[in-house]
Amino acid sequence: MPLPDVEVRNAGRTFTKRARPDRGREYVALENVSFSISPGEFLCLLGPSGCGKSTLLRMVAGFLPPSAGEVLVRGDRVKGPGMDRAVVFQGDAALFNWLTTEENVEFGLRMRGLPLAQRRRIVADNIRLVGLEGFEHHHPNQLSGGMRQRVQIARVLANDPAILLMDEPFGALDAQTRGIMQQELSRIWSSRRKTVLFITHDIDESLLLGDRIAVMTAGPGATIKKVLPVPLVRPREFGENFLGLRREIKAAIEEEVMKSMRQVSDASSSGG
Amino acid sequence: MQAALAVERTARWPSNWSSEAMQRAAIFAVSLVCALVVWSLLAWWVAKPAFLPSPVKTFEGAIELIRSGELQADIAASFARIIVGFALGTLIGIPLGLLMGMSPLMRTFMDPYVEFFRFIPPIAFVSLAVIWFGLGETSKIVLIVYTTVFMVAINTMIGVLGVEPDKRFAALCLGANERQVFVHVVIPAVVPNIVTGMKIAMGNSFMTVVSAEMVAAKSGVGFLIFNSRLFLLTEWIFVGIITLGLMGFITDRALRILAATLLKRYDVRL
Repeated sequence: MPLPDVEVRNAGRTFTKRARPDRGREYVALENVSFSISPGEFLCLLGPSGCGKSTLLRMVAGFLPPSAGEVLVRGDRVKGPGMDRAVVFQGDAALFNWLTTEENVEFGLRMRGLPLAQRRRIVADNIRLVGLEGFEHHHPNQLSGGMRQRVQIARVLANDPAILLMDEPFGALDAQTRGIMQQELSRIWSSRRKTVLFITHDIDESLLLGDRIAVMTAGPGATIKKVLPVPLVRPREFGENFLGLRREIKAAIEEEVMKSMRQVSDASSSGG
Repeated sequence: MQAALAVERTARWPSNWSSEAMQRAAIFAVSLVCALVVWSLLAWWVAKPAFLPSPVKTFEGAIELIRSGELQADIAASFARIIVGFALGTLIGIPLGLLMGMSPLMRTFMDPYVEFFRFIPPIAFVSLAVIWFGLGETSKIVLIVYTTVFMVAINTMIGVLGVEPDKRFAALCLGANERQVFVHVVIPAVVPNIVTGMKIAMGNSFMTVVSAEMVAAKSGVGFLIFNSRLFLLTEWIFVGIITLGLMGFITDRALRILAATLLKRYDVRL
């Protein structure tokens, strides 16, 4: 069996609250999380909002150390951010707004000191791949939300990382744009075959994109509830074959949403 | 802010630009005429030129001061002090602010000074500056450097602290090292804050130079205003005040145009 690209073993993450009235109290966000992603696999991490999906991604990215357990990337323990794992962030705060589309995409290549001719070629290739020709010299604030996410995708692909970590990249987009971006990502992934960890709270999105879907439980102490393979051929479209799997995932996730809602109402009735 | 909004509007509909500019110029002119009329009426009603000189008398005073070359010399003296002090202060303030923003140790170390001097206007140091640095240029420049360093450093620090963590993270996982993150992410991201600090510092520099020139100087617009009082040449005081307003207006515009052309990509908003 080949070495998995990403392996999370019994990982947990605890935060110490800094705001009153719970100052100093510990909050267990993630507990005993284990999963792995094989090379070239597209794994969707699906969970109710606030369950710690982003925290988990940040631990794999190396932005945040796990409080328990370990995170391995290609067999090595993660010690910090690295070029082998590129992150596509949810918002556009991660884009460099003083740089144009072209310069944003070029950023990683420039930091690594690649020669200009090579940089030019890679930048042009990736801008074409994400369909941003004609917008090379625009700044992020001159682009639409969907285009900005395309810039982010082109920026990480230019660096040719083995692993792509995507933190609800289309969460802030309108439904139509999101649909288009999902199709585009599916197309890009088919041509570049990266290992992907994709975070979402959208069941249909996970069914469209994922090879497997890991459903998370609600926090605190969130963990993986179950991992479901998606045995559907690509390119995928909504149809009859979707429905059974969709029902199963929906039931699993609704249970978790209800659980977290009950916790919130408990907390407010006991607190108030 | 108003100007920024207007710029945006004209940028979106360039065809309207000229008519809108004309309209603004017309309103500007009417506003000026209103001020002159009110001023004239008040002066006529008071009827004591030494108490409130009329616009005409003030204009004559200005001609007089320009003919003798005094006004130009005073403007040059004040401007020279501001420019030297402001440039020096900015050169010290930017690295200091970056250092304070990047290093928690440095921030904690500087914190008591920042909190203490925040409430002491540079004017409070005028007498001390004269005792330490004499009546010459040094004392005024030192005061302007002080106020500029303070404003630029604090705004720069705030900017550094406000850089979105995701920007740093993005750069790190694109292969940048810590030094590259600083040079290629932090510094460009704080450019708007630096410019804001410089703009506030410029306003403070004007206040500082005028008060210093009033207390101890042989030249400068502040000296002109203060000295005219001794001879009850009230119209010269008016000339000095109007000159100051114009000088401020011109420097502000110059800063704006510089920022808008040189720093366009950094999305500096003034």
